[in-house]
Amino acid sequence: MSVTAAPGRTGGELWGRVRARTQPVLAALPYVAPLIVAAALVVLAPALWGLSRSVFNWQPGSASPYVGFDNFRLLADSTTFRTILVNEGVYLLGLPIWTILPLLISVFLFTRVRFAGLIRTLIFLPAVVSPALLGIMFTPILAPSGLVNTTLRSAGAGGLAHAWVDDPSLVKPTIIVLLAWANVGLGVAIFTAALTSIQPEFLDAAAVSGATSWQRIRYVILPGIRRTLILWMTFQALGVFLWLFGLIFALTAGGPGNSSTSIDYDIFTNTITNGIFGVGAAESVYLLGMVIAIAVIAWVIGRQWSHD
Amino acid sequence: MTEHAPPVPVVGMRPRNRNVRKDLRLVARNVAAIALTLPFLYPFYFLVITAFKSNQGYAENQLGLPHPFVFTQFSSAWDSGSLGRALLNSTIAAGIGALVAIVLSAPAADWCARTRSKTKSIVLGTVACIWMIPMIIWIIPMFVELSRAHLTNNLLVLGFIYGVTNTPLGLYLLYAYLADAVPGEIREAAIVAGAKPRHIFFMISLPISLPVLVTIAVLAFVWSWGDVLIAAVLLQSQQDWTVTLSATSFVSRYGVSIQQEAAAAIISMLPMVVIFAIGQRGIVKGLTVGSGK
Repeated sequence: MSVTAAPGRTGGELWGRVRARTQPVLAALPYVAPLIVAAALVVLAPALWGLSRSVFNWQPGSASPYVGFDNFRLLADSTTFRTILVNEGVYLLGLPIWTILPLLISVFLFTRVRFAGLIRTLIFLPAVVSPALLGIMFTPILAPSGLVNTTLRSAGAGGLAHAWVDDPSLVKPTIIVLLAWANVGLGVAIFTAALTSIQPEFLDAAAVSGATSWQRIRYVILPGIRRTLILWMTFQALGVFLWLFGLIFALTAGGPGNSSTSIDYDIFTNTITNGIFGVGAAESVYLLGMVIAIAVIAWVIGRQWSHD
Repeated sequence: MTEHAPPVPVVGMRPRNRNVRKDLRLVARNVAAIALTLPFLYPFYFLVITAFKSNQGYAENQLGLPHPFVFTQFSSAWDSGSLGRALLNSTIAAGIGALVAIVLSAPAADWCARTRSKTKSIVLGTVACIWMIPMIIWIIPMFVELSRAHLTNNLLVLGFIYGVTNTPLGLYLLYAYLADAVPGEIREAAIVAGAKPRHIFFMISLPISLPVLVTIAVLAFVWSWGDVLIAAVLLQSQQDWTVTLSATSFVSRYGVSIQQEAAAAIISMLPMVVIFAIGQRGIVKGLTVGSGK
């Protein structure tokens, strides 16, 4: 009897152990599974599948032969793609403006200004507007006889009036300034939260020892908000590759020529408009590489700064 | 903000002078601070005054208040841009997006706040991928798959994708809140009293986090409303266009006047600006949670 009972008992033990292991997983499933499945189905699986199509002459609905690295080579040799890379580089030049402007404003509003809260709220208003709506909104403002030019003319500076988004040499600086205008409010809100976390004693000590405003910023405020600053700059730099589509789509459609096209806008035109999905997939691989590169650079710089 | 100048001493010129100078500097600072808001408000002001001007009214007076006060720019933008239908489409898609974001992320956030298991970081990491992978990289293959299944030009599908796109926001905001608001002792006490995890979720976590859920819903709605990339990829037929698509197509059309463009911009932005004006405080607070640490 004991012989026949033994396997039963160990079987029961085994079953118990399996149950002890699987029960928490089973209990977690109804809470977590829907989200994980949705994320995998909508984002992860399409992304991986799409990136893998970059080595095919991908034409949905018809034969898509394997072409090796032809798509990548095509892009590397294309002058359009080179123009787009230059565009992205020029947009990145906005980074100092997008960082210093909200930083200065938040420091200014943080020190003895009446209605600072209300002013922060009003400045935040443009941050509500999405990139696409920003483009729609600024079409009449930047038009040849729109707000900017008529204001300049009525101020007697008609010579400064320009075709802001129709001039290949002006369109990128215009977009940089536009993004500065749109992002200042969010930056001020975030930097203010970071400033609040600096010990007031440090600021007081600096004031008592007669530090100038610049010294206060350089030696007390900047080290105090270092982490927030790095995060902000990283997001702004990534934004140049991730969030320009809406603005370009609504304001310039990449023009004039390709002078304002961003890489995500070009992937859109290559695939949805022109139907060359393989090239779009290869371009997506390049895009992912650039985004990872920026994240790595930000991580390295962040580590160095915190060792200072 | 309640700082007042110290009382001015009755005798002695020098301290008094110093105080006057200090006061003047304070006034200058405040004037500068108020002037700072002007460049941020002026474009909105321009849109509003321009949209109410007639064509001749704008030609004669571009920066002043509208003299003949007309509504025709709004009605012609509304009609020829088919913005009415687009507003409805946007409301449907963004509304579904807000709902789906909450339904998917709330239970997961509750589990993450409750569990001590290491798998939590797998869940948080998988969801973070939604944010870290550039949208254009997954939306194009998604379009290919959906068009094979004849599911493009479908506002329900668009809304569902909006919802998934916003789950990281929901998960992280709610997880941070619940980990704080429902401490382990409360959960243990409830379990000792015989409550199941689902009871805790529905009867403690959800009611207690209602303000956060509203914030998530508002942010997801506003994000979906402002999106143009997913909509432009998935919606080919004009009758399904969201308002960002319709307004974009309208303002970039040849021969549309500046007043009509301003009217279209106002129509497409107004619902968002109103929502934000109502919920601004809570939203800014919610967005900056933890960023100061």
